Amino acid sequence: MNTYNYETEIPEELLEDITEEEREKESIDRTSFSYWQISWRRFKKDKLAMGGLVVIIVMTLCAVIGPMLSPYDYDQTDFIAILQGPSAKHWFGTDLLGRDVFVRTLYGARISLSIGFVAAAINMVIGVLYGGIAGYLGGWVDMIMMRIVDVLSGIPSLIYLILIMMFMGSSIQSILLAMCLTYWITTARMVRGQIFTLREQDYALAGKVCGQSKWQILTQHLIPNSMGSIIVTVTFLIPSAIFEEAFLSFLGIGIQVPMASWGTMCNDAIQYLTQQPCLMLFPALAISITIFALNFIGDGLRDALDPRINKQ
Amino acid sequence: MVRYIIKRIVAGFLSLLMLITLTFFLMHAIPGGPFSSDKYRKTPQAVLEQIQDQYGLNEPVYVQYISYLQNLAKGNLGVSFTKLNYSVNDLISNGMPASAKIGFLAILLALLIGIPLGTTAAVRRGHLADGVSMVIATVGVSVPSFVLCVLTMYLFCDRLKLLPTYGLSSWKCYILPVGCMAFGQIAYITRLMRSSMLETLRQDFIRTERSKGIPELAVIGKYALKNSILPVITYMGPMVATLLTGTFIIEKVFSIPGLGRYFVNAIGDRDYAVTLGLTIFVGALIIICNLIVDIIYAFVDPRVKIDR
Amino acid sequence: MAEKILEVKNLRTTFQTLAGEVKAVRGTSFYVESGESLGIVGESGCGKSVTMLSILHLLDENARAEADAINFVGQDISRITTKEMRKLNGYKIGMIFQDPMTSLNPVFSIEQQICDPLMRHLKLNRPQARKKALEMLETVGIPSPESRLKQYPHELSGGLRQRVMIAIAMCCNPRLLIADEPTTALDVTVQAQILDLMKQMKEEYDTAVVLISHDLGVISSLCSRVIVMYGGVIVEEGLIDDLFYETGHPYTAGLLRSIPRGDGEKLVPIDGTPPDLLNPPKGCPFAARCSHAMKLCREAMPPKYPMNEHHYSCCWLHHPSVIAKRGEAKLI
Repeated sequence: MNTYNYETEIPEELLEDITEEEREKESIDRTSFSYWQISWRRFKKDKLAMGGLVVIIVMTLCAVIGPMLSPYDYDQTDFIAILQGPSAKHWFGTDLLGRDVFVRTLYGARISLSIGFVAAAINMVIGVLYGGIAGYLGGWVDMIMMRIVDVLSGIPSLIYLILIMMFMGSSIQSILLAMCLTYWITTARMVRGQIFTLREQDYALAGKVCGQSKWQILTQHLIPNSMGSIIVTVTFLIPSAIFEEAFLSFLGIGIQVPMASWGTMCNDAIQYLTQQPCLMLFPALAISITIFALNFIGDGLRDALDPRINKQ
Repeated sequence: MVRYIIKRIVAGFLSLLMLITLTFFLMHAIPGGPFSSDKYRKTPQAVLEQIQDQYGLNEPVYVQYISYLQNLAKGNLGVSFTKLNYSVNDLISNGMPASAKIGFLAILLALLIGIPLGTTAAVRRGHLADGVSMVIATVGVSVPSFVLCVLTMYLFCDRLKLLPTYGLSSWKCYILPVGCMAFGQIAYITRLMRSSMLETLRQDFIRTERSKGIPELAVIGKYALKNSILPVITYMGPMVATLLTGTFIIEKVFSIPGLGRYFVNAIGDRDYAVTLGLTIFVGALIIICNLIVDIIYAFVDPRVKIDR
Repeated sequence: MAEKILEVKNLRTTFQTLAGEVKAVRGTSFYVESGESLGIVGESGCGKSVTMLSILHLLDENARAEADAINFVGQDISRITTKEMRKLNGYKIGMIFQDPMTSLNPVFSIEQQICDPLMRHLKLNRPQARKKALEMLETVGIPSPESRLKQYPHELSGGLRQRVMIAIAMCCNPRLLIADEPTTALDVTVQAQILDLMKQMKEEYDTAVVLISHDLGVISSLCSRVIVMYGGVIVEEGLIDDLFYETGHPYTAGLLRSIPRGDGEKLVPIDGTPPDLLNPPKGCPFAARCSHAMKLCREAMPPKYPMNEHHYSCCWLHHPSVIAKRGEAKLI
């Protein structure tokens, strides 16, 4: 590079004006990305979260396809081979009734994952609607709706779950119903809080000035802008739903035999822990790995979707 | 301040009433009532009638509800329908001390480890200490407590024979139950503390503290801590609830004669009256803890007084 | 000649971000004399605040500041540790921030926030610190200071909070006060009061002041000397009158044209946006927006051109061959 100063001679051609094209070239902005593009890029960079995503995808595929490929059925008993350790024939061993633990674990995955996803999805819908309406309408409607939530949330959710399970009997449907009665509260509160802050923002006001209806403002500005937080909250609902199903089943009031859930399998395994620890090990590992992966996904999403650190 | 506290108390009372009502009617909606299961199939109809009469089960539901409320107001949580001379109050006075001791130790342990660990992770963000504590914390929230209980029991009691497997006869007996119960909470508090500390450290006033020449240790340990501990205080309420329900598992696995175990047994025996009574007791306990936490919060965060 | 209490030589600050290394400050040198007030002006993102935060060791972790030397009352503070720097922060150098709403700790009372530096730096005990804090609150014009001490930031108005901030910054009688946009977040009427207060405090305590602002109007009401920053470098420096009447840089001229003067003259905005500091231009940072720009401006960074003893500007328009070819540029 040439160094010039006020004493040096400067070549004549450098003294010409900058042309318009050169100016243009200079002022081209970096390509800008949408919020979701940036978030996805950040998420992809997060190795733990991507690892979690891969684990969950693999787990889901196994849960769907796995049992079809296996020669055993989840409730197929074999009294000659009971309480076996892992072998080529039974990858994860067999339980007290000689059922194949591998197939049962995969069946458990079906139940746990579907409970997790369905519970989260239902709760997201209820929570977003309830919170959105309360937050957007505000005033006395909000007051009443939120007092109801306050009272409901005062009641510990697990106690609810236990009562409903005792009342409705043990089945996937009653677990789901019980969870739907309690979980939406967190989402609703969060959404309401978000909407409450967002509707004070200038762009919501701008929408109002431009003559958009309340409904349009709610669906076009407020809900999309709180989508990041909603997704994060819902992602964390999935592991807690799985957790609580396992908990209930472990207490003996969740999924009933011969159906297999990870919680039931662990519960059954306790008695034979000293004879066959593997019986406990595999379902326990399955729960832990799943929840581990889901938590990492949730963490990754939270970081990726955080609008405050989203500038670059 | 006073208005805020009164508002909280009213909300807590309503929650409790709602819990009682809900519990009561759910129990009574169970088809056939408590004496309809297979166990009583051979009992003559007349005897069943008499038993039902004895427990007041033939009265209209609202009469039963009112008398139940009256009993509750007197502090009487009901008696078992399946076992003679077996009242909920007795169960509570028998089981509460053990559960409370373990629960209290677990809370203490969780706070003492979780808060410093989360703070360290936030301050050393991106460094090794952060990575290690985050992995531990994520393991902690990912492993269900029953898995942890059973595996540690298998390892320390069965294999290594270091610790006793049941009872509460010596200090050694407390290690595993308290440790297992606290582990998940430590993990949760660590995560909570880390994210709230990170949030606080991003705030403008932290730069102000530094510009005043406050040493970093005091900036973190005094000025940032008081701000970032607020979510942990809020979590204390639900934490008590989680620990109480956690006792269900811990006491089942470690055979500790506590509240949780009675609860699980009652559920297993389908003993509705006892379940109902214990539910209300545990529910009330949690609601009261939430109330206390809310009041503590108002003292720590001066903004509450006018904001809410 | 007054003593130079702060002398910064070739300060460079970079930030590590996901997108790459942002060169926020690219070699600035300036000085502050004792008792004077220096203004730093420039638009958002030009590096004014980062410059001062670098000097005070108050940057975030992803930032790195380097300098040939930063001399503060005879000590090179560019090489001391942050821990040692904290002994000077709040004691010999006070700082006021832009937004008084977020700059005070919401969960500590005013008393706790003002007494802590007093007890640390002046080694006062609690009652002494309290007494001193009361005095300070009175000095900065806070009514009924006794009751204000017990209050929390959310109970005060924006103007009062900024007064509290000034009280905190001035409580140890610092040699240098750095005010980063102290009036930007306030109402116009309160702005004037705060500026008056700062002027009064400066006289009373004989403190040197560095006032950072994007508003030349605010700067001119308090400062005698001004630095104009653009794209992470200083483009012009001089006494306030020199800058107004002998403007030496097109960017300064642009800033001057965008101050409302109330005489009916039309305001002229500066078109375009500041340069991308991820890949700063090798020439003059302002070239892309400058109506006088030549090919030369994009090729080489203009060095300092001395206009008089205190006044210099970094612009190729002062080069003899440029003047020979195009004549004296009319900047205003």
